[in-house]
Amino acid sequence: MDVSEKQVDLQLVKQAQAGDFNAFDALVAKHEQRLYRLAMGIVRQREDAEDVVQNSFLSAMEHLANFRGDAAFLTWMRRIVTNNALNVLRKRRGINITPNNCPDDDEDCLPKPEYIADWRDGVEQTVEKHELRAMLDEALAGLSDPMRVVFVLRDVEGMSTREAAEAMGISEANVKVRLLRSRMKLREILTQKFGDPDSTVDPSTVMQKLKPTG
Amino acid sequence: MDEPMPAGEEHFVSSCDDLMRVISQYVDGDIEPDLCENFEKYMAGCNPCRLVVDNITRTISLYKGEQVYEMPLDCRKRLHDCLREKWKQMHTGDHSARDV
Repeated sequence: MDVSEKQVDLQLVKQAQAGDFNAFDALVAKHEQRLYRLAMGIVRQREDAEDVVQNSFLSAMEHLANFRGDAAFLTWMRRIVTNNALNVLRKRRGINITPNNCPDDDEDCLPKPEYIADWRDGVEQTVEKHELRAMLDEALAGLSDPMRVVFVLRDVEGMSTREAAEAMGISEANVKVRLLRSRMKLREILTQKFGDPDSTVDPSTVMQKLKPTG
Repeated sequence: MDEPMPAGEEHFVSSCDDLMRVISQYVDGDIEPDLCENFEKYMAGCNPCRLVVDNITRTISLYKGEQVYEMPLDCRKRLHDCLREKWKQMHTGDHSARDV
């Protein structure tokens, strides 16, 4: 998001703070898709994602007077949505994403590539968009919740390691380990789908100490 | 931008294992110049590593570029209706609030 966009948002916030609903509504319309994507990436269920986005905007509305513009409006909203989405995960399965309870945090055990191949050219152009989205969604579903959340925050949302660590309440080191694992796992799944069989190479040529991905 | 890896901690890529340990820093462009040069030199001589790096880069690029989840129209409508209603409740009797 560039500076001018932030300024546009800030202007809309000021108008909303002055009582203009249309300004607030414009902010919602501008960011709802992106925030829904964030929520879905974490909770993975449409109804839950809808609730998360709705509750987040309601919360933003209630606390709008406190927003001073130190951070961008979108940054503020992403924090609220991430918190609410993580709460849904915690409530749903009693999931614990703290470092001591995640088996994916072992720094000494690196994931090993199992299937290595060059991807076919132009995957984005040759695969139908809806089919590609379904494939990406299915691959994401193959990650555990703690790994998926890190991947969504870092690689889809573009948060820094520090921001993701703060959002999840874990250390930056654990964010890095989980991110590596999630990237390697997704690579594995997608390479099975998009890899050119003629370009397959023997994974045993990659060092022996690594353990299989997943 | 994340902090570059401290010098001396991971400073030399001499095996596929070493490369895997810093692969995330490399694809994020968060790697010290010396280590980056070393990484690329090793990768140039190891086809499996080169492919894994390329696969990961393309994986991230796909997720960044695709709107995997799209907010349904009915969901958007419910959201805006709900917010409009809440706004009315909050601003009842508030003369500074404009009509909604």
